[in-house]
Amino acid sequence: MKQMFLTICGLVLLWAIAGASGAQTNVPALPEAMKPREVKAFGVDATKAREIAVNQATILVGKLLEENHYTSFRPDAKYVRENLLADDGKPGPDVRNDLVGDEPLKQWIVTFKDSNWWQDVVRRDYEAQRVQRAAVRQSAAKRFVVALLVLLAIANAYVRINRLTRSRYARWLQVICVGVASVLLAIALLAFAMYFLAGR
Amino acid sequence: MTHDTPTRPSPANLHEQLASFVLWIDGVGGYLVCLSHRVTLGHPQGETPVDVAVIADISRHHATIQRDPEGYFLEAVRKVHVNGQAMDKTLLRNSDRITLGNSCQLQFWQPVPVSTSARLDIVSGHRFVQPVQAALLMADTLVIGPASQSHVQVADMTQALIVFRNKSGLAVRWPGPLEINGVQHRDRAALMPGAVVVTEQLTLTLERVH
Amino acid sequence: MKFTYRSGQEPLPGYTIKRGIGLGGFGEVYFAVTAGGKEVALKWIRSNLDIELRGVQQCLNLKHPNLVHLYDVRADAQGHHWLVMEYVAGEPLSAILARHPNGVAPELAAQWLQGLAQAIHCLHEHGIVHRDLKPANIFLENGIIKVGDYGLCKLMADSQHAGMTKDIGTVHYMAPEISTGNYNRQIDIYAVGVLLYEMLTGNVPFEGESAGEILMKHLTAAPDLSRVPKEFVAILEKALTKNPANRYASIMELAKDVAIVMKQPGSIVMSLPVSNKLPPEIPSVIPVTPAMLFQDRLADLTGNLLWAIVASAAFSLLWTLVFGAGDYSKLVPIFFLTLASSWCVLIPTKLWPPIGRSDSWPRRLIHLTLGIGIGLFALWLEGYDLPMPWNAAARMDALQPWQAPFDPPTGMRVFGVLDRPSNTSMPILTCYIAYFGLMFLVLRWWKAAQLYRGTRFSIKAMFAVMFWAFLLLFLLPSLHHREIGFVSLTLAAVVCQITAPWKERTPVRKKKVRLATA
Repeated sequence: MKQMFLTICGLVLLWAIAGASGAQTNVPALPEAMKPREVKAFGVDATKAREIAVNQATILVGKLLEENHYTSFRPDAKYVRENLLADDGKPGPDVRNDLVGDEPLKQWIVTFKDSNWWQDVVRRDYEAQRVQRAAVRQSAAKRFVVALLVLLAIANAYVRINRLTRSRYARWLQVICVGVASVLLAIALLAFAMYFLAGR
Repeated sequence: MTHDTPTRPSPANLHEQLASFVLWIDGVGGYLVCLSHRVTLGHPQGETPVDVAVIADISRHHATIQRDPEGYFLEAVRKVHVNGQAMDKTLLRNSDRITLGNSCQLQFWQPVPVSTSARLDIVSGHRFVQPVQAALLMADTLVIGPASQSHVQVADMTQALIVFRNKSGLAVRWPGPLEINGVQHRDRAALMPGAVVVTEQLTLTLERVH
Repeated sequence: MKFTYRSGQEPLPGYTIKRGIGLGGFGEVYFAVTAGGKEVALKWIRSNLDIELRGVQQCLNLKHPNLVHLYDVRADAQGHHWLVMEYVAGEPLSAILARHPNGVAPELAAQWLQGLAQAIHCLHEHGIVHRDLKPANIFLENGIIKVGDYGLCKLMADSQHAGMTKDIGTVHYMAPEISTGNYNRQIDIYAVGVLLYEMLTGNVPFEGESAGEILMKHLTAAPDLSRVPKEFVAILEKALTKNPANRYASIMELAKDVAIVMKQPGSIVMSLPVSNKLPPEIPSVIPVTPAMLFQDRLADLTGNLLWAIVASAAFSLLWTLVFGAGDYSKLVPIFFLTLASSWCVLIPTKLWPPIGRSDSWPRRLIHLTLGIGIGLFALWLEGYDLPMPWNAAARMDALQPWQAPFDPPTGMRVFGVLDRPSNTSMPILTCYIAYFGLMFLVLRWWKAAQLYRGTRFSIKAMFAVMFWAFLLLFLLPSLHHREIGFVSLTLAAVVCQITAPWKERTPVRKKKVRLATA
């Protein structure tokens, strides 16, 4: 079983290589000063206040990410509640505000986890970046294959027709093929330019 | 007149002496050389012999090829097609296919751009009455050389041998020593009927056509 | 060329020499005309040996349209012997081949081969081995092959020890067994194989500086059949076999095989090709220019690659529709990887000779390289940044160990069992390179795209790919990657087989088993 033997050899080699580069992702830690501790929010009732608190925590994390130039991942409230906050939070003292009305506003305080949740958030940003890159690359590859398809079709058509006509009109065919290819290229360039300008 | 070339033709009797001849080239082939500017094509059975006789289903005088300043004109006496088109008179161009009658086909070549001499090949499996490969309609020069732009291509040669007309008749030019009927010459020499020309690379013989 | 006799001389009474034709190995050949006007070729046989004349006498009364007729053997006043032969107005094959350095059209070569085979068959039928078949001895007159110089060769083969011969042109056509003194009809079949090769390609299969070098190649080297049109490969392989016992048993067998591959009629009617009313404008020899071959290859390749795109798109869409459970996110990577894999199989296979039991390891290694390339391409498509020298600043996330996705993927029914990340310690780069590289190394992918494969589509080949693709799945880190890898390689196996051109291999003749009579 030559194939088996070979496979095993290859695998051993690969494991050796893999072992050499088994380092963990190094996410730059968030400076202690920037780390949010807790978020206070007010609402007409406790439920509302709690909702607002979580939302504000979400916005805070988003801002934090933006400040650190992580632009691809934006956490949602559910994620923040489940992963970043230590617990459901606790009610704070009611606040009276004459502008709002007679009823005192309920306060709710949520506390961020003490653990290194920043690393997880950044990893999610990396992942989101990757997904974006993948989408860009795949659409670029699609265009490339379409262009290749057209070129191959033109080349194939040229050779076939040329053979069919026994090279009698080779010059004409070449001119037509180059013409078709350049017209298509021009259209593609024009479309690209228009897309680009519209994007601006 | 020198004594060693007693048979050198004078301009007056040149055409009489050399209306046409066969050029035998050792290792290459035989060629019918027509010197006249008007060449008749036909079957060899006629009473007045034609210049280029082809053993084929054609008339005794089937067509005439005339060399004019503009080029070679083909005049049909009987049915003639050029490149598949029926013709009465036409100017021939390089690689034209001339069909005499129903089946006999010749191809016309002017392989050397600087020379007006032409070559007629039979492409239909028929044959000339002389056992030759082709008929050469010689105007000013005939080029026998290694290039494809030669009237007779000889791949083994390194330089071209040129047969040309001068005031006194025909002559040959060859860059190097050449021997004609056992007499040594250099570079150029006059040719006469029955001459055997020997160079390092080529041996050729002129034979009169009777 | 220097000839002893000049035009107009008459060394043999009744025959007037017009010109020299050529200088052969046996003497000078002249074109002469008899007193009555018959054109003949005169061969002046210098070596005046009885054995040689006896060989000629055997052949004097052979009649075949493809043989140059021998009329008589005469002696002149000096006692020299002259062989009076039919004059062939056409040119030797050597001159035609010199004009066509890339060989002639396969149809033409096949047609000439039939004439050649008929002539040699006639000789063999009469117990004569030609022994000196070469383009200079074969003429083409009005499209009909004429074989000459037979009957003279016995002496040559006997007297001149192989390897010592001066005429290097002859050595190109010498069968390997001549070195052992074996001169049966198999050597003619070998020579015809060499001639066929030369007609098709313009070159003899074995070239060298010296006679010894060429003979050594005849004995040891395998002919390079990659330049030969593919339908002739199997025929030439058999005709040029070193062991005469494995060669074609008779020349007509070879001719029949050629007729089959070229779809020629079984027998060719011999007639003077008198042109009809207006002969078509077909030159007597159609040169096969490199441009034509290149165009054919281009048509073949572009068509193939084009269909591979279409088929890859169709099959990856089909897969996603049937098994994708409405998840179209994997459609694009599957399509691209299927396409890349099938192109990586189709393109090199086109460049390799269609048959041949050559060593598979160089091919496997080339495929391994291409497989690694596909792995890198897959990574790139997935959005991973590769550690490139020019973007050292970029995060080398492909070198980081793969980390389990945050949300467990929606389970795939087909791979339910495998929906479990296995090796989170291996970098994703290694995972991909290992998977695709090994997949291309362990399987002989070219078998799926070869012109002469057993059947056009082999289920077995597809299952072999599926088996290995499944076995190696543990290399890939997650279900997402596993599905893409497995599916694209399986589809590539399908696409290659469907799009690569296929020809049935000419059936190998089974050796007749002769029952020994007790």
